[in-house]
Amino acid sequence: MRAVLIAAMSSARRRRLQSLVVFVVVLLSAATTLLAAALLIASDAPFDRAFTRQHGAHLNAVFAPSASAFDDPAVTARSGPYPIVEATLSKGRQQRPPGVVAGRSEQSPAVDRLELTAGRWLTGTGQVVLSPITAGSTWRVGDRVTVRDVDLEVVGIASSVTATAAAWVWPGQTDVLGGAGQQVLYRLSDPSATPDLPGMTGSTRYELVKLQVEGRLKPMVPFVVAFAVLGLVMSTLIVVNVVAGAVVAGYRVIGVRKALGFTPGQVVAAYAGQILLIAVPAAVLGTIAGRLLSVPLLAGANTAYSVIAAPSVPWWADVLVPAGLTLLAGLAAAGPALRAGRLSATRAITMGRAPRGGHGFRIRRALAVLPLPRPITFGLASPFARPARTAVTMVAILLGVTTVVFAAGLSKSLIALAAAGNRVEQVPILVAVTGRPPLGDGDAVRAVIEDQPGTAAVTTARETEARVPGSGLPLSIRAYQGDASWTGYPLLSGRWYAEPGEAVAGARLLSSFGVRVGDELTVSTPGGRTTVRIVGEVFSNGSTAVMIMDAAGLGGSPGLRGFEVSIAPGTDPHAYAANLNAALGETAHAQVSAETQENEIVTAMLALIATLTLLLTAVAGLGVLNTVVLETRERVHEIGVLKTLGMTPGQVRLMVISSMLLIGAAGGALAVPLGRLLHAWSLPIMGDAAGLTLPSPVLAVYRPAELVALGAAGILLAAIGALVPAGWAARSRASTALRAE
Amino acid sequence: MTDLIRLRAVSKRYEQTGPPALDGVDLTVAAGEAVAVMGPSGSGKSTLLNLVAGLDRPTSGDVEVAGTALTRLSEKALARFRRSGIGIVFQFFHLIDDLTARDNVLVPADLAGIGRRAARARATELLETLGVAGRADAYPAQLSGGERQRVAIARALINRPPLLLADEPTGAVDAATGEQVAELLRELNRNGQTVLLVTHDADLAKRCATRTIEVRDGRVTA
Ligand SMILES: Nc1ncnc2c1ncn2[C@@H]1O[C@H](COP(=O)(O)OP(=O)(O)OP(=O)(O)O)[C@@H](O)[C@H]1O
Ligand SMILES: [Mg+2]
Repeated sequence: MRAVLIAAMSSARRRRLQSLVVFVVVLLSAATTLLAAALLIASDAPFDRAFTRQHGAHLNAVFAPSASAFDDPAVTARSGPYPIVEATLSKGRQQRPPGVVAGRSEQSPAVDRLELTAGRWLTGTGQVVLSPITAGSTWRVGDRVTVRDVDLEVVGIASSVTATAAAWVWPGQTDVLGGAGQQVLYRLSDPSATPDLPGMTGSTRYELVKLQVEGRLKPMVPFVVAFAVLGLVMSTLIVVNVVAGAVVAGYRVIGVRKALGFTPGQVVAAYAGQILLIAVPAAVLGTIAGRLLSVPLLAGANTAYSVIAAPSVPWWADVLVPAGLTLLAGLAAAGPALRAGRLSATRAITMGRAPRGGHGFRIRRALAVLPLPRPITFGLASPFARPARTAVTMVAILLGVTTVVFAAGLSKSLIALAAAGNRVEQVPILVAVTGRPPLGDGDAVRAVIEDQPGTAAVTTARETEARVPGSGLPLSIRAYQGDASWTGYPLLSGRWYAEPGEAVAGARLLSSFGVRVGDELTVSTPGGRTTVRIVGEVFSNGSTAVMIMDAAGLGGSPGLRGFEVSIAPGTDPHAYAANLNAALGETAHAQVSAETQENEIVTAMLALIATLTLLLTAVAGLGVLNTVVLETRERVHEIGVLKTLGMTPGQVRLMVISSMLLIGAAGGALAVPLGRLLHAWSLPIMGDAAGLTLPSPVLAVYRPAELVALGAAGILLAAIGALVPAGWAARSRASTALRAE
Repeated sequence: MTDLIRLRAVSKRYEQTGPPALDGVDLTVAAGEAVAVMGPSGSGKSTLLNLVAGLDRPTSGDVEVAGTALTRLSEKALARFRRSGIGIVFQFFHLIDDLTARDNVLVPADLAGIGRRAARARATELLETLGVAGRADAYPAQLSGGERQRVAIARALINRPPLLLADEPTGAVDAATGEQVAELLRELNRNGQTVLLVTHDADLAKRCATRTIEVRDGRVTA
């Protein structure tokens, strides 16, 4: 046993670079795996988990200031009453849309426990705690904000799972709160129960919030899950590849050991031991690194899921990830080691040293006929002489480039998906009307917007709930006043509506009510019954059935949702919004649509994907470096001979690099269709999971020139991997190389 | 007669401490000579040969071969010098495993950029002279030790180098094959080839050398 241990330690020491590569690969893979697992966990029903954790409110009820009876048998727990007011928060010239400001001293009462993401909870007057949405990315702890002309210090940022308020102040802050109403938060014995609360003037049920949050989320989750799965699979494959490669490279040593009297079992133990000696600390360190990285990234994902912090990678992931990776590395080493263990000593020595005959030789001779410099034909031919090693290298390149191709496609799809849903480009400015419904016709606000310099087009957006007679399913109708064909909904089929009796619809509506483009649909709205013809299908990423039409086609006066504005080319949207807000005063609030929450989600997602891609590409690159190093080390003797025969250092370098070029080209060429296939195969699955028909800009993201460039990345990856060892080979002394034998 | 090799006060140290591998060696070999370098193991014979081949650089002193001062050449220029200035034969043959005997012989010609047709003719002629023409398409693993050494000698001679270096050429072959190799070297020298031969074998030295020198602890003693 001592001999086995000594053998394991000495090989690990002797192949220092190789050990280092295995170490780094296992480390990065552990970090990637932990991150991917964390993402998977974070993506699993984030709302429900946060709702349970935060004792979320089933019912958020608003009472008149005078109300004093808040109880009902259906209520199991209650927080409040808290005094509330609807107000606008501003910091300098930045203003947030109006929201609820609640006077509340408890951070964690029975219902609606707030989770702090920054700073601390309130301790008295003069302070304010903001919701993450209010804080956005620009307002921080320590800033001063103004609410109803009162100057407050931001002491913390805290999140309520059902977004019960935009900001919280101390209950004694009467200059802000001013007795507009009272908020009571309930948990109910049956979440769908309707308690009898006579003084209630308004309420929000958690299902609605959940629907909103999950509706925003749903299209994103499958993307993140796909990437996490890719991360898991790729790191597994790469670890297996690198470890198996290391063992294959050691065949000759295995042969020598067997000749010295090692039993097959001892050979396997020595090899698996050597790998484990490296893999265990690497996996542990990688897990720690992954956990550290997961804190900012998960915070991002949690904001993305508009659920908050407590980034909960469970403790068992810390055990499972390193244990799993160690086991994997051990198995990956044991496989080839077992094979080597069963070989006769001389077979192992020759397998490690001499290449196998057959094709390799013939190809080499065929290449020798080419009118190319000798070093290049030598280099190009060498992969054919060692098919196993070549396969290992090619797989490393294939995995690396496939990851890059898939990740690039996924990122572009995600961006296209967000653009299709948010129409940020076509509608750079959104204007919301201040106050409680009903908001009137909004014509005065519209006139202000139309008069604003820089306005290119305005349309009034109205919205109403509707029903299809005979069906219990809800649907919402978005009705535009005036031309809205420029608002940028991607058309999946048919055309945009042209007259009041026509409408376009999202996929969910078409499937829910079993209608097709060209069919007529009768809907009943608060304003009466209408029959419209569906003339087109548009992409809609919401979770409810939606129909879009001209407001003139609807009876009555559907609720005002706001205004969608496009601005003249060259106009700065921020300056435009600031000027417009000054002109609008208290009546309405303009916002740059790219800064709405949905778009911050996309940014957070892209950061996650970029981090994972970077990690995976680094791992794949190391895999390549690893095989090239092995290959070069294996060939020091041959290179030494060639040098004695007059090969110059430059020619040696050329030979080593060209030995990798064909492999890189082949790996890259295979990876491009593979990555595309993976993308084409997984996107509709993701779309299905989210209940979406994906528009073509989301699906067709690869441009031919990009694909060629990505394919060439294989050659680049191989050449870069070969550069360092090629330098060593070029500098190595022939006399030393020959002595080594 | 012109001097083909000229070593002046050549020393070589591999490590900072301890005695040097070569210690102030002066040596001159004239064209047409066959010099045998003898001495105990570890005395510095291979080191001397490597310096003459331009495979290694002396710590101090000058090495001149065929009128070229090797100490002043770049690695690239040294490689070019080796292509046609010398041929080397090693104890363990050092053939390239995945090339046939003929292709092994052709490597230095290819590196020197000699026309394929002329090189092949020369290779065939050499393999015939050395008695291994029948094995031209075999791979090193399929050859006997003696055959491998003859292929290695052919490879060393393909570019007609003025100097042939041999480090223990009979060290890894049986006695009978050793005889043949010795005979070959003597034959080559008789036809004008300058040879520097490193060996332990006094018999070999006596049979093919025109002169014998002795290296002991890094110094030439005779
Ligand atoms: N590359 C090297 N690095 C360090 N020491 C070396 C190196 N090459 C040779 N030596 C040392 O230099 C001394 C001379 O070695 P050299 O190989 O020249 O001896 P040799 O006379 O050829 O011996 P042998 O008859 O055993 O081949 C020895 O002590 C050897 O260990
Ligand atoms: Mg020697």
